[in-house]
Amino acid sequence: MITDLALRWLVTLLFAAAVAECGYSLTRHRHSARSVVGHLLHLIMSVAMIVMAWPFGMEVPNIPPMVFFVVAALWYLGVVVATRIGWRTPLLGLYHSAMMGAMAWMYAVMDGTLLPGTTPMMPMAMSDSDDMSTAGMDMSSSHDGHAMSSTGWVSVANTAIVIGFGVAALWWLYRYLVARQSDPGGRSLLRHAGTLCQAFMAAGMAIMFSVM
Amino acid sequence: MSQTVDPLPLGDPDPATPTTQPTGARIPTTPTTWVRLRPLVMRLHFYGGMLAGPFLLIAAVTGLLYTFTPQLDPIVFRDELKVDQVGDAPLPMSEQIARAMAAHPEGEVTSIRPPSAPDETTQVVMAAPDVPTDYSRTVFVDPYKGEVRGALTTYGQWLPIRAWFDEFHRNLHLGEFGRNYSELAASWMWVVALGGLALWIGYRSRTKKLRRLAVPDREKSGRTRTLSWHGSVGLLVVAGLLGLSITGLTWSRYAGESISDLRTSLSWTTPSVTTVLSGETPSDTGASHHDSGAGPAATDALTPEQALRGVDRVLTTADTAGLQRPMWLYPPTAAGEGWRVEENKRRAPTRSDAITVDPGSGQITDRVDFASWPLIAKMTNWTIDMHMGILFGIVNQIVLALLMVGLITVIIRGYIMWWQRRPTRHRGLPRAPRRGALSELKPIEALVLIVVIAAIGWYVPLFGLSLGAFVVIDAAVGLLRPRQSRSAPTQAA
Repeated sequence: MITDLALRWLVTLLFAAAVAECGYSLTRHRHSARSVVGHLLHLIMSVAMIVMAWPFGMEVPNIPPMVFFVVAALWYLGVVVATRIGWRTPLLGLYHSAMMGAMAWMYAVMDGTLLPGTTPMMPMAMSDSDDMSTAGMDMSSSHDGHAMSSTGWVSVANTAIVIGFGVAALWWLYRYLVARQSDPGGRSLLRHAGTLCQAFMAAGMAIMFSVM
Repeated sequence: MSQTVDPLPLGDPDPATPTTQPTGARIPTTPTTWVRLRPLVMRLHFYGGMLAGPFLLIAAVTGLLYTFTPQLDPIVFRDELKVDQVGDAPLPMSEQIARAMAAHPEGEVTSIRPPSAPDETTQVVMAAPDVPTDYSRTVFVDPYKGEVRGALTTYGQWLPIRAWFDEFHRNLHLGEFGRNYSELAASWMWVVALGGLALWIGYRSRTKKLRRLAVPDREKSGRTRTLSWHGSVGLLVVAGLLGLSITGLTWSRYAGESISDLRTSLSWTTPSVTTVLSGETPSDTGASHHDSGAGPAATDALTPEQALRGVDRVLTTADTAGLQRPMWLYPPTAAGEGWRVEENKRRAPTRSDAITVDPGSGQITDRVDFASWPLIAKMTNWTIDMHMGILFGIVNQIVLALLMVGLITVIIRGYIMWWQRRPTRHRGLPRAPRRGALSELKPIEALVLIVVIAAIGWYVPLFGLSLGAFVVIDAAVGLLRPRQSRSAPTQAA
């Protein structure tokens, strides 16, 4: 969970917008089966991130969602490998795969026992200590009664993910602005809301990883 | 998409210098940065002004009232502040404090202000259970007779009248919730002021009247005249408003926290003496009285007699060390601490030297002179004192009062200008700057702007939240409006 209340709400709003857009798009537009799966994956991912940001998210087990998002990442990879039809570029598919992979990574890091280099560190009762408060994200888990330290290579990877999704957020936002300006009929917000929500999701991911 | 020039000028077109292209004229295909930026600045200035206007108006009116208070306190509270007759020699400070404590046994002495002039009383400031949070009970003692001349509820150095208006300006006497009003006003004031400045310069430049930036068009009428007064008075007060906005934010609840963190990270904080005596190890080692409002740990708590021990020696040391009055003496709050003595002359030339004195030996154990403060810390103090009308005395008060009057007229004229744009042929609200201003910018410009505004919004939360709420509402209106127009095509005809 995110301990900073303002940041928690910000992340919640970013992903709530993504949930709303995915839901709207799924119910109002006709999609191919692949597109439906893509929308559903992003919707589930956004809900998972909202849950993760709040204290009650600590009650959710880590392993099942981690496995789910590993499968989701592989699904996107499979789509990229199998066909490029429906995808603007393979890079886009790889990006979505990376995003799902990052979700799986986050659950693995939170678990504290799955990744080499991550160590169960402190009992839950100490989660309010100074060390944890500086992090901004309380990763103490209720199931195993411990939090873990993300040091060494895990921290490096997390930093890389923060930078990656930070850049991605800017890139999606830029794409959104370009799309609105280059589309004479595109002044309607909903027309390019998908791109905007990609920016929101990338920003939310960057924030979540930055406070890990 | 072709770029278009915003067809709505800031004011009514000046007949002498038409700003609109004649029919059939080509619209420039490569508009300047300002032409692209202007619609967005216009929207920010307009909606920011509309939103923050009422709060700014309240802040301006309460601030104007506040500027008059420094002259009221000495008149109303003359009996407390002055002695009837100047005696030969003052009583020892310890005896004066004892008289104050005897008269008000409910209080615990937190600071003492010795007289700054022969006819002034000694002020003994106490924490008391029956005074509101952040307030104190100040007992006024005749230093020659030891007579207690009265007790007042004070806020810092402020006597009741000034304290009342101070709180009125800060939070309208609505407590923590009320602080949001002044923070919202301060958060938007610099945005609205800078936007207005840019628009005004752009308008004067477009109408080829750059030399008349600070002069209103008295010969005009209607909205053009209102605009010229709004702009020229705004120009005259803009620098002062920016200063007030920044200093106001330093006191605010949320943005103030960001500024405080920034000052700490850049070592811009106000230096203070350490009250811990050498060789002592109290529980709160290193803490100064600035941080000790909550009091020491129970195990180290001092009795009033222990805390006030040696006050006469401390005062003598402070006088000998060259500290000048007005000065404030702060007794130790825990074992192993010394007295902190601070000059507090806030009127230019300011004096804020501070020392720590060991009450046992009378030795100075730490000293921080105002001259050694970082420039930013000095600047912070000076600008805050300017905001409060203290630094330059009556001149400062007059300037502040003029600024407030200017701001009030600018706000009122802003609303008048809006009203003057109302439809004349049918009922309805006046026109507002049109939506889609962000799309006038190049994508990269818009991106940079969004990132900058988001960062500012994070560190100035009430600005960010209110702007975010506006964007959401604006987007919702944008989604609904086309449907409304489609559903009522005959209305447009």
